[in-house]
Amino acid sequence: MSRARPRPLHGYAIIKRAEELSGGRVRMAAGTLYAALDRLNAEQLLRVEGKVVNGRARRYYDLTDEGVAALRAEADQMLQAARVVTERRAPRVRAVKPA
Amino acid sequence: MNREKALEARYRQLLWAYPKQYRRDRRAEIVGTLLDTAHTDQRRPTVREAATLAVRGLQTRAGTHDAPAADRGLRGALRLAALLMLAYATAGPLVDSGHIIPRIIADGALRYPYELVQPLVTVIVGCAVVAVAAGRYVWGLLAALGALTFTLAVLRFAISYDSATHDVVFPPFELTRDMAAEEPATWLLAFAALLILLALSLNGLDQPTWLWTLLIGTATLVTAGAVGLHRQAHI
Repeated sequence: MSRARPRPLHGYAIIKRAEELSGGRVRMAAGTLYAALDRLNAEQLLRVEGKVVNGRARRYYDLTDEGVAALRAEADQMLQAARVVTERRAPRVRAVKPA
Repeated sequence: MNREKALEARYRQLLWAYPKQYRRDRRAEIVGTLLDTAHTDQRRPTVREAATLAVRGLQTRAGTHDAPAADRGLRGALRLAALLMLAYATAGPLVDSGHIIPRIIADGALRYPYELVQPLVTVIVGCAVVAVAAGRYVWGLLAALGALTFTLAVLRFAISYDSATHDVVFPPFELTRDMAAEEPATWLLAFAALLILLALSLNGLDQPTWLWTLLIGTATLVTAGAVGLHRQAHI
């Protein structure tokens, strides 16, 4: 979900996408994922569409315009925070002569 | 196929922590996702899956799973405060019950009829703790009010009963009121009920549930008061 306006995804696809984008570091548990989706939905940052695929109930989640704006704002904030660290000049190291 | 069916049944069982309505709406979707993420040879849910579902299910019951962070913090704090108060309110009756029950078992009889009220208070406050922990605030509120009623009854009867003559002589109302004011459990239960009410209002209860809660709560207190006055009038 962290790329600009991705297509709607169902729960399993979101877990796999997060895993791919993080290089395998993020593997969300289903319970955590659905709690986060419920919260985003309650804040109207997501829209949900229900479908039945291969006899299995699926709900597809898509970012609303507000969701995209919130995502970009969050990404900018994280980028600025990262810049504070990466663009800071390294402190000079001065050799100390033994007495 | 049998492996997948068994795994699916186990995942379904793990959703017990979620409220009934949520399970009805989302079970197929969540179980489907869990089955998709399971390993090909997985026979039972992992500890991480089970723990996450239990915690998230309880959060859903408490109504904090979809709340914004600040709101979630407030609801969590209210719930924790109510739980601590109820747990503390259990301590007094539990200690008293620890003296009363072994004696009843040893004697094989009650020394006086109201002796069982204190263990009953312990059970009701215990039920309130479980209900609030599980996010069942309406039951928690009713149990807290019930425990408060019985605590007041214990105070009234404890100072009314003469164990030598087996007579019940009610003292002036002011004495019971003063004793109730000095009894920590009454304040704890009253404040816990207030906090549960606040948590209920944050959760946005529907009108019929509000009405039922108010009706049953008021009926409990009025009935207890009426019984007390009726008995006093007969003595």
